[in-house]
Amino acid sequence: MHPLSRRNFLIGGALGVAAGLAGCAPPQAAFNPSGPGIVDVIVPYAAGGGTDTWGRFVSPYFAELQNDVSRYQIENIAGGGSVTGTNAYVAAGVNNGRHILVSSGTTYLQSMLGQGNVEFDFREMVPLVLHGTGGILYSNAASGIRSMEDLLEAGSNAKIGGISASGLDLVPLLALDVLGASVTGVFGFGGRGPSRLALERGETDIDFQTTSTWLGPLSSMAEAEEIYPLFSVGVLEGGEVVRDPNMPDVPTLEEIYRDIHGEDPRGLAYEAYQSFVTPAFFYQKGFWSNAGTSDELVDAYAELVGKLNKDEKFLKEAAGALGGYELQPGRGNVEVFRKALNIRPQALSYAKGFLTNEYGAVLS
Amino acid sequence: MLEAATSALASFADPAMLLYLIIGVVVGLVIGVIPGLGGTGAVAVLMPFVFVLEPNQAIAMIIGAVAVVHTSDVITSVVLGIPGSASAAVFLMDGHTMAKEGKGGRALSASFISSAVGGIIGIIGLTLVVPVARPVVTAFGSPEIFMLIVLGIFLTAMLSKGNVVKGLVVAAFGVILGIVGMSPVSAEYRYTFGSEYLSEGIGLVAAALGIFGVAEIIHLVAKRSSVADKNVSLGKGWARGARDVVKYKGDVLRGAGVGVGAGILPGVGATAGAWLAYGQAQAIGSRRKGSRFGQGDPRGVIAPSAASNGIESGALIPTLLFGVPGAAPFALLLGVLLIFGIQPGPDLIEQDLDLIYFIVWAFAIASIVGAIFAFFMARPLARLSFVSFPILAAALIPLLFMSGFQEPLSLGVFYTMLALGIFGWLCKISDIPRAPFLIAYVLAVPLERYYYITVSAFEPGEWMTRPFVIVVALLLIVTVGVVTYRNVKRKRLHPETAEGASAAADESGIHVPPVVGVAMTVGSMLFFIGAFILATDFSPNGQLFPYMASILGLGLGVVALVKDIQQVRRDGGVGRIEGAFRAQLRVVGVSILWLLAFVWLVFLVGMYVGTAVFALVFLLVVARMKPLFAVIYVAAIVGALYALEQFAELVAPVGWLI
Repeated sequence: MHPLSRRNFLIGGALGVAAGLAGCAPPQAAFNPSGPGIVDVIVPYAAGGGTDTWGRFVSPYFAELQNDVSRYQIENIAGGGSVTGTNAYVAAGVNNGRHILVSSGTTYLQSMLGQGNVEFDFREMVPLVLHGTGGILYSNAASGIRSMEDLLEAGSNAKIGGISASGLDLVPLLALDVLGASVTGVFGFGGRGPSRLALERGETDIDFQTTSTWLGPLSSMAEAEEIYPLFSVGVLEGGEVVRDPNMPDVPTLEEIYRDIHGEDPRGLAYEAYQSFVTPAFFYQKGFWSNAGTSDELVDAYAELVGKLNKDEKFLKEAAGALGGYELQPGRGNVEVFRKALNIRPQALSYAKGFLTNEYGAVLS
Repeated sequence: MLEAATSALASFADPAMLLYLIIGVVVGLVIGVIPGLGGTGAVAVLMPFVFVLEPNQAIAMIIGAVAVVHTSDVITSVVLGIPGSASAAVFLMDGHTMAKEGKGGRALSASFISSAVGGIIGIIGLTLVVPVARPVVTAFGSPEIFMLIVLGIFLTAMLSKGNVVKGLVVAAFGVILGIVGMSPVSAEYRYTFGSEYLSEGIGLVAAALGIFGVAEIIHLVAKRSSVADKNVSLGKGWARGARDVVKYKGDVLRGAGVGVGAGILPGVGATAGAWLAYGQAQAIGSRRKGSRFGQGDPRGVIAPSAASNGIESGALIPTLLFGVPGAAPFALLLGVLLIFGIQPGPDLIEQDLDLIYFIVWAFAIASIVGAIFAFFMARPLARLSFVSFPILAAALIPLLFMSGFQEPLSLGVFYTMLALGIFGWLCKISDIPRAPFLIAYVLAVPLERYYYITVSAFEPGEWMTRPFVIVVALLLIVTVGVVTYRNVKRKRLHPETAEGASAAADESGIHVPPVVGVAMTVGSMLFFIGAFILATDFSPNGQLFPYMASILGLGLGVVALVKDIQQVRRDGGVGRIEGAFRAQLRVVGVSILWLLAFVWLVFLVGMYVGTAVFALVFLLVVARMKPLFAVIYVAAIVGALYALEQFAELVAPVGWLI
């Protein structure tokens, strides 16, 4: 037998490894810093979406105030309902402020519910800047529902439109559960817009929208009393839920509960609701950094947020992007955020059971 | 009103404003002509510049891009048979046939002019419709949108050339591939096998480019010929196209009308709109003498071209008046408007009439400028149909795969594209139309969505008796009836050349033995059985639609199999793989190996080096180019990819080593 020479063995081996590698698709995500003075920003959604435009709009104002930063470079890694990009960000593991993440309500909920291939935990990550929005439940006057009492009476005759019971819609669903209303869900809409149109067409009776929609396309309908506000999620002030200054006439869920029951809301449903509404609305968007980020960086961003919130030019130019809510620093808010994400197992399993049994949500 | 309109027009007297509009138009045309990149891609390219401009300048730039992408994505469809977008697949029917006859110039000029005219008609229509838009949009509920989507899929299958039953089978196949990923009705993952790549679906661009583009490459590389069969100069075709538009002005008008209608209803979409426009043109045109639909009738180009710009202008209505994006690129426009503090909604007409007219004028100017530019672009590009195909393929292969990669950003998509390419080639040689696959793929999710919403928001007696639902249902029945009647009549007149026999010979005249058809039918039936079994694991809401699609596919498969067996009887046996067909199979096998080599090279050494090595070897061996030219050409290809990464925000795949 011809003995295998070492050279042939090496060449053969190398070719074998190359062939093996070539057959399988190589993984893609890798962090390449854009260069000095540039902060790389991962947006786990496609370019042009709400979260992307928010990040692109707000970031240049930060860069302007930072001496060591010339610009923020946005990179969109969409996929897996924002899980792919967020996983990629966490895998890169940079926590020195040169590589940050723009996150949004959906991503927080996915990590809380353990949906998809989640490899991140927002309880360990560090928020640098946070930004919230409000939400409002309203009814179509033509359905005969003009107040919360009407809705409670209508029961399952009332139809609520939404995208899916395991996404942001779970917030109004849990809120209705807190009040003891059991409505029928019509899910599958492609977005908040189509769901709103369905209410206008009379296909659904109640619907849930964010503040900007309520103050925008819905305002003339509300004035004409074609639609009625039922309740808002309110805003956090010193850890307490108070009326949303952008819709001062609309009571909060908590107020409605007190009117009906004469006491503050409590119970598993409310506990779960609080845990979900906090990341989904009160701190919906934000700049995040990986676990282990230094306090100096957190403080630096807190200072920048403070400056921007006093900057008339910024407040004027960013009015559309901010939608009536101030930017908030991660410092001082992170505790409330983490507390919400540390939902008690009983409350979490209550919420999962409720969404699965009542609204056919598919949860892992 | 008139005052607002004229003051809005006056803002374009500012050269800077016009400049940004034209920048948008150029970006839209360039991005549109690259297969796989469309309106969303063009707006994404412009995104970084949007926030440094004044709001009106940014809006002009975006409108400029969106108004023209469908003007230029026709070019590759017509010239190369590779649709630039899913909706441009309709141009394979007549436009590409014209190009193969050497009339590419005529087809393109007819298309450009009618899309400019369509855009302007659309904008006039839009202005007239604004006051009544609200009742129109609210009158069309989920049941109506659902029925329109069904109509779109059926029309495509019925009107496409080739085997109708098998066209419906591939439509069912498209539906199942279309729902891979997150379920719209139950938010669970279906058919993803735990893979992150599949969690967002196999990718529309990958599906469209695979089944048409890669299939075309496999087919033509093997032939070593050019796209156009006859060596006719483009010559006077351009003027001819303009005369066609004048001659068939009715089709321009109707096409634009159908487009605006489809655009106004969010959810129907550009692809269904283009086919609805084609369908009505064919239905009306075939009553007259001399109609050659499917064989290069200019009306088959004019109607969908006029519609494509009509759709974009119609889609502005839900975007501006309801804040609901009427088409994908407008979701981006909406985001930009919101950021600038412009809140779309019913009040916009009263508060910001200037803005609406500004957008209207921007759209109209962009339509005209875009058509003029497209002529300059198309002249050199139309010559590509006379270039030997392997030379084109060296550049097309990296470009198609790179485009397909952009959506999923996972290299698994390369195998998907290759597999769909082989499937597409098999369809091509066995005379199975591929357009139904693509439209079913695109519309699968909206179809499921609107079906589910319809049945959960309405009682059956309630939605099925709505007037428009009944009208569409009648239209469907009439179409199916007419097509079946025609087929039966044709069979009676020419029993020997019944559809089966003509189906067995592909375009190049090579006899394809019936065994190929039988194997494909049996294969598709196995696929549907597998899809059904996998669906048993889904949630009750999530499994309903896959069940329906797989049962329907299986039933159609049985019908197709019966026809196949009749064909086998007529031919006196399943036939053998021999002679010319065998030789062709061998050549196609070699083409597939070339593609596989490219895929593996990219996996190993990344996009740039992989492309360079592949293209060089391919040009020298297959295209037999002179080494010096080959090196220059390869440098140009790699340079183009680099330019796309730098300026069009594309991401180049990374390999194991580099």
